[in-house]
Amino acid sequence: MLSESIWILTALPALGALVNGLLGAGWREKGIAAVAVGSVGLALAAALALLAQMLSLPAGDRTLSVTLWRWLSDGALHVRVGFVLDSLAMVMVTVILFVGFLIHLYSAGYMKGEPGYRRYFVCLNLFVFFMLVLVLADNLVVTFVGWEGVGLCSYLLIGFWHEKKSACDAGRKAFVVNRIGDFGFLLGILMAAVTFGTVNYGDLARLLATGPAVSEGAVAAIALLLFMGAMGKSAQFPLHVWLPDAMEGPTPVSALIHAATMVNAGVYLMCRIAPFLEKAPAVLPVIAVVGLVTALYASFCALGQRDIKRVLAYSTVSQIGYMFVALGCGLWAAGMFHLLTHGIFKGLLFLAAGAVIHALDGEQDLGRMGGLLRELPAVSVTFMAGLLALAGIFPLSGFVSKDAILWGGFERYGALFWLAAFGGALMTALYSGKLFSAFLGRRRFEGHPHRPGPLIVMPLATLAVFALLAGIPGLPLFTADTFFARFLGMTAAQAAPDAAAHNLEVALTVLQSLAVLAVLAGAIRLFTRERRPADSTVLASGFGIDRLYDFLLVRPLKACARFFAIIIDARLIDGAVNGLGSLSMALGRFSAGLQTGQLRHYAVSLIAGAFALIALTVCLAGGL
Amino acid sequence: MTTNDFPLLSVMIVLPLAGSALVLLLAERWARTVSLAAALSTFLATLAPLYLFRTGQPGFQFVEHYPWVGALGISWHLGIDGLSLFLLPLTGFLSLAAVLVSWNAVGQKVKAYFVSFLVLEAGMLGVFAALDAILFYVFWEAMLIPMFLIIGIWGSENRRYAALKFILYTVAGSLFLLVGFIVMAFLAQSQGGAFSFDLTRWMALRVPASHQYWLFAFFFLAFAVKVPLFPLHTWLPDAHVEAPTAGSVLLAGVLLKMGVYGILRFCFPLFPEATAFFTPAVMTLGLIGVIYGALLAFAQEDLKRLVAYSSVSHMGLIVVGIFCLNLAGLKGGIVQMLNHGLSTGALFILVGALYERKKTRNLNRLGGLAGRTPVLATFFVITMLSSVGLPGLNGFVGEFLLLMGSFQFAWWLGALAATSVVLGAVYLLWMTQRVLFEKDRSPERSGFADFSLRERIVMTPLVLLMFLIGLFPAALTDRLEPTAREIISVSAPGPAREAPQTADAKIMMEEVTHGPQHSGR
Repeated sequence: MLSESIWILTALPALGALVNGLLGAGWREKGIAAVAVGSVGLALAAALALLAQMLSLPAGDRTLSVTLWRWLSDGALHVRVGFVLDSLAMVMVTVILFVGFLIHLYSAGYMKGEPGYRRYFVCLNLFVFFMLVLVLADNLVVTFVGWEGVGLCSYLLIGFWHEKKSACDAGRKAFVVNRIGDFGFLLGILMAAVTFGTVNYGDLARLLATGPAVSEGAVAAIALLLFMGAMGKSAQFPLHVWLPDAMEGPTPVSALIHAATMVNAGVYLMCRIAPFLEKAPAVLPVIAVVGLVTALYASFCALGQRDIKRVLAYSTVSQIGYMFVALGCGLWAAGMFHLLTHGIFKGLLFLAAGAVIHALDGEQDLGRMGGLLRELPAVSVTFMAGLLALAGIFPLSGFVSKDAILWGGFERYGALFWLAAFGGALMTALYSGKLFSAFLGRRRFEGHPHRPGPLIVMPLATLAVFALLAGIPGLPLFTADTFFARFLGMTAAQAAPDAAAHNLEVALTVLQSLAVLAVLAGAIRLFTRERRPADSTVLASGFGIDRLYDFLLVRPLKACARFFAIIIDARLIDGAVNGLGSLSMALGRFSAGLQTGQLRHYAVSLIAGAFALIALTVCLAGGL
Repeated sequence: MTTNDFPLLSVMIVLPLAGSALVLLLAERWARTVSLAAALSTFLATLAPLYLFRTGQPGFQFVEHYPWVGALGISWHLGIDGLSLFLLPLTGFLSLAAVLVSWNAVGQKVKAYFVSFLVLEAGMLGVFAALDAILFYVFWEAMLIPMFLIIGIWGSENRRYAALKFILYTVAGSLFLLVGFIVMAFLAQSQGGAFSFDLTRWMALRVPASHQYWLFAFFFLAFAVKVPLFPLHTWLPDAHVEAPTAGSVLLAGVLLKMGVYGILRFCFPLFPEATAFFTPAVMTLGLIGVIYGALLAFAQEDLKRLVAYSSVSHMGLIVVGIFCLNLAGLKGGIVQMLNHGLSTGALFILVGALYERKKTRNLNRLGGLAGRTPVLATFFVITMLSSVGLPGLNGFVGEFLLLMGSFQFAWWLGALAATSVVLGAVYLLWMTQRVLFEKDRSPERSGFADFSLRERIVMTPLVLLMFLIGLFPAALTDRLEPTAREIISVSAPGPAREAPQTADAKIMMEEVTHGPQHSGR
């Protein structure tokens, strides 16, 4: 009974989208918003009820599952549409519906008066639906359905203002880059299906643990292919290029899809297939390095941006990099916990940024903000709370989650790895300081910003409170055995506690905290000065990687297509076809010319033919 | 085999023919209504087998067998299996849609136009139901003439060139097919005793390996033109660009399926050794088609040419999949034939609707329709996504099975074929952006009427089917699984087929083993 109710979670937002999409034409904005926000609100209530139920169950029995119908069969492989709600999925569901609900609420106010109001909410509800399908799916194929579905919604919402070419281009770029990742994901699914004869997570885990031996290479290949999908969706280097451009979409969309939920799907997927990674540990360093490179690279890029949303976008890329670092260290719980806290504080930052942009009539340039604290106190305070969490200031949520990751990196990959990860953390503090300058110091804008309404402030305040407190489940510090990890049931095997290591961990944490604090304070001073440091164009363009792709991929592809179209297809292939046509026409004309209608011509050819035949016969006979 | 008392398949073929006769007899103002009635009743007739078909039962069903030209072994032999089961309603539905989209589009020679369409429909249904090679050939050719007329009379500026190219290309291919058929009939005579064009008899024959290769090549050439397989595809973009909307719908939706249908129906079961021999070459061409078609689609400015090249890409993938000759590949190929019919048919309907509004198909002169015609835009986006292969819609089902089949065949084949996942998204999203989004670029300042009721009636079932197949594909694949298994079993160059060779080999072996014994004694 309880298990069957899982699908209701997904059905509610789908219903909201259907009602608004099919019936909502001509409705007033309030009605549309009521349906959209209401459906997600109900789903949130249902999820919280399920969470309470789940917590009351003993830790081993916390998995609810339901199979709805058989989707497709191929020989012995049966793909069924089924959902499973375990503690891992529950974490995601809670983040999706909690942040999602607040962002729906916020959007109801933020999007007021937009011509595409209904379209916006249909897409947003649809997004929540697909996101829930993604995390609740009990097999790879259904996850893939949600995976591509959220990609579709992301595409539609990035290109929400579809008359703007840049918005359309950004949406298309997001979809295509994601498809490159999904190419790997799909091959991973196929390979898993061919190797194991199933795509069901539970069956796969069981087969990996006790089934017939499968070579570690095959397991690693499947994991890497799936990781390729994760790199696309979670914007990891070098497939990250779509996310900064995705900021063309409305800001609440950036908050929900491109910060709090969808972009984390890759992290979730890796946790879902953790049995593969445990079986093929050779993959872990790959994940860790990709995560670390991304974290470091994107934190530098973030520093070079002028646009407040692009700073946050690169920051998101960087923070997801940290999540992958955690996974690459085998610390599933730490990665998921950073996902949770990041979802909250980054969602908050985006929503607050949206409020700032609204208040300043669409201004997104950090250079034209400053001193907003006096004009927009509520928005500014919540934004700064989010920033402190992002920078990892003790004892806020970001501190708790990031600290575990940095130590994990030190423990598994050594001091150099830690140093790079720590460098990224300092860069985070640096660009956080740059963002602070929008609210402190002298005002650099004209006019009077209009203060946001309660529909916008309320979600901000809620998220701010959670950004401060969300670190609590990550306690106690200095152990992998946190409340959160215990709930998740994915605690890594603990080595025997070592006093020296523990002391080093505490020392490093203190060092990190003090350094981050110092850098943040310095950065705030630096960026609020009268003469701010100039923005580096190299960093602003993300080290020119877009131009590189354009040069290496896009242009050659276009040239190739044009070459094929003009030369190969039109000239060569069709030329041959038309040539064949002209040839037969010419032959026809030639033979028609032989039919002169004059008797003597025919007589001559008759005699010539007869002689030729005789000659031929003689020759052949002689030959024989 | 089951023989039903009611000649359902014959009725299905005769209905549109009767309709066309009625159109001829009645006044022009009745032409549309009568055609609609004929197409609708035919469509309902094509639905009947879906309910009556016995899933899981191998062999042909609804078989009708009457002598026709007894002296030449030609008979009126009809029947369907899982392969043709879904192609009939697809034909029925797209023909109905074709009549509806032509409602206002045709101004001149209205009677001749609808007569052509109904004859075309009869021909298409006949091709999918015929179990006699000559009967098949008659329908195959009978279908070309109305299509030739449709392109040549009701097409756009360069219609004559396109119509001629279409018919010459296809006729050239089908002449080889006819030669092949006659040779097969002689083979039947030499092996079975009777000169026969009956396909079910042919399937029991053992075609000597020496004949298989060139017979396969003859058959395959005719079918490859229809697919169209690279590099025999250049007639398709021209035919599409010049054909009226309804012509394009049927051309892409049904006619292209006949190539793959023919390969599955004739080449695989009759020439298993040759099939195995030619597989690498055909797969290479199919793969080239997948990538080449996608690249060319990206380079087009004319919307219809773009969709035509996307067909080259999609059909190439189907060819790759079926030649894997495994369950997934075959099921995927058959499902994707249906899906491609639905999504490309729908795309051409949408392109026609755009053309009626903006009087252009040039991607540089379209744009900005999403804001003005939201219903049209929604249908367009869903259809595009079905073509992209978005999971949850029909295209993904076929793609998934095809890639699964390719992957089972060889992992690198799966990887190469899967590039279509990325390439398809590139050109289809680009097309969507140029048509629906950005600013309106057309010189036409009007033409912003959203979908009419008639257009919604045509498109809604298509879109519903896309969802239904995408969500519940097992209903489809379970029905055609027995047929797929049968194709595999008869197409495997296994011991049963090589019986004479193995017998020869046995004798040789005996000679070899007995030889030394004799000399030893």
